[in-house]
Amino acid sequence: MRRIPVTLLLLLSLFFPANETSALGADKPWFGGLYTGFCGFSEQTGLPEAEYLAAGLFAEPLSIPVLNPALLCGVLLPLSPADTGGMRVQVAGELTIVDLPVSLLKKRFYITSCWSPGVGAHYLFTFDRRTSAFSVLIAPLRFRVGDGVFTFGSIELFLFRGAESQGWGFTLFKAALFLF
Amino acid sequence: MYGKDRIKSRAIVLLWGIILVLPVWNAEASGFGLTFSTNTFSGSVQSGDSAVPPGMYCRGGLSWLPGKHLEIELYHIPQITPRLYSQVYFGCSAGWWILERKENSYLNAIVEAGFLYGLDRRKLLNLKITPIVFGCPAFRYAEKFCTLGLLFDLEGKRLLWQLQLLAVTLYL
Repeated sequence: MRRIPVTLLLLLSLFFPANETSALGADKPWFGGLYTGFCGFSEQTGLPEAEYLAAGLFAEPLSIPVLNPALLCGVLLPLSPADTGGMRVQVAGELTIVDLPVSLLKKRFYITSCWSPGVGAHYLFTFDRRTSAFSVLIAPLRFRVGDGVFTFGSIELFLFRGAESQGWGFTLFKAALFLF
Repeated sequence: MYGKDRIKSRAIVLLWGIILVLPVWNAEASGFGLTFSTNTFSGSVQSGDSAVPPGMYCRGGLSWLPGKHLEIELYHIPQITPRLYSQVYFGCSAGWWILERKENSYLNAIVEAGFLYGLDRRKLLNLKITPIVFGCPAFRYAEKFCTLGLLFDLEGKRLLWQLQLLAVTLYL
């Protein structure tokens, strides 16, 4: 339960406004930041039935427009129903396949936006490391807007997890904001 | 059973089709929009037990803003995990934007009252407050943060919490 206020603080920090910056390239001043999102998992994964809050840190060291890698490390916290026993540590590597400017979005959001579909691999484990799971991420609806990357409706496919069965996960929304 | 599943799949496709297409038909009428949000149900206020199955839900629907303050919403809240669309709540609500909506107004707050009806025939009354609203139809979008709701289960006679951390409405 001690981790909940920290998670909430991380979450609230995402509401602070940030300056518009170049999304990618040599001028980009950012190295990494915070991410948070909501996700859930099918019953075949063996994870507790709940809505999960994902929160943590990410780094995007290279800032290249094609096959841009990122590393993430954070926690998955079952929110509804709240269950600290169902917490998982999340370590992930993601690859932004390409960043394509989308001019249609600028008319609505008044800021340069890029369509940035991604793929990745996630490794989940409990703090005592007795349970672990490995999944592959497919994120077709991902957008780089200003100094943030916003993901809608990404799918995780669990390939194997020891003796337990496979399944799928779904991230409804994830926001990653560059802060440092 | 197969036929029932097929009807359900077609109903889901039809529902999302209506959500996505209907506002286009009304493109000339100002104040129509698509609304999407996260949706968290929590346990009973008194006992912590939840009247709704645990899992992740989302919310999608239509929004209409007649006049300067009023907001009418028709939406559905499907369960996404652990079983897709195994539970769905259909809802309608009437909201009141606290500050008058003007061309240059950007910050606002909303109070809402509504009704939810579940596939399991559960009926819920809904009161919500949204303390932070950025945008309005003039900006063609609105972002609502930290909507806190109180649900009253008419049959179970108990109160539940509802949280919608982020809602986005795209106006046409």
